[in-house]
Amino acid sequence: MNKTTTITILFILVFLISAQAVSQVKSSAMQTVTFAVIHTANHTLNTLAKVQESNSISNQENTRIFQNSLENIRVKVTVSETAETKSSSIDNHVDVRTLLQDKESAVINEKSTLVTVTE
Amino acid sequence: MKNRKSNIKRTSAQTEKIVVILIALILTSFNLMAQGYTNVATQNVMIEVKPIAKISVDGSPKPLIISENFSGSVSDDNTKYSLVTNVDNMKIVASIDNPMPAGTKLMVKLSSSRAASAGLVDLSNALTPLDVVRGIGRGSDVDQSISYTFAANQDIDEITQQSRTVTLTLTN
Repeated sequence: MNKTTTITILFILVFLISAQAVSQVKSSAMQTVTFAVIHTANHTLNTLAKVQESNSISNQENTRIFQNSLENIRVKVTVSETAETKSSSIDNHVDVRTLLQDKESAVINEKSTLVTVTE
Repeated sequence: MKNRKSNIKRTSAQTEKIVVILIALILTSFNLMAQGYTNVATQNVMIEVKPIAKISVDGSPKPLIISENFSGSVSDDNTKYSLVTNVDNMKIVASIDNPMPAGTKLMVKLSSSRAASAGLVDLSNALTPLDVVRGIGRGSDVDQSISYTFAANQDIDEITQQSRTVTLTLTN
């Protein structure tokens, strides 16, 4: 491609772009959309069934399982190995005391389905 | 005799003055006419109608919050738009200033009484404008509804409140 051809093409491009700019008519309006996803009360823990299957697990294992299951809803749970069961969280408060029937080993029964997650 | 001659001389001088004045008046009249001082005046008025395209929105959508009663989506259709144009075959395109978070969607639907709505259009990644109404002809379309739908996957993590700016553009 020689110099003349290049210059001709450039002229044509400039002309076309200019024509497009002149002929385009536009007007804009804007809106702000606000959104959020909030996990609040009464979540069902999907992994609870797995805990029930084992029926008897140690506090330490129980804690780990519940930690894993609650990760999906941004809640961290810590269950102590002492007689007094405690729970804590970063974003939410989790009451898991009803899940533990035995202080040494966690026996999960039907009552354990009562898992509440509250803000 | 001397008085009579004097009177005749004065009359002649007066006649000369009158003739001079008349000639001056005639010349002035010709001059004024030549300069266009008549009882008619004309002006040229230039007129032009430029291509017009105006769109506006009315109201702000309420916050779209997905919470404990997780239905997967939530909508708002409380806002409206109006437009006027004198150009045929216009369209409305919509874009978003930032992509939506993974696992979520922001969709918009614009109704139209004079053109074809594209229905529910996913704007989640529409940094480049997408058509939402096509085939708008000349005229106005007032108070047409805008519907926003926010949807999230069931396994989505919590998302604190965020905002996106949606731009609606009437263009050809």
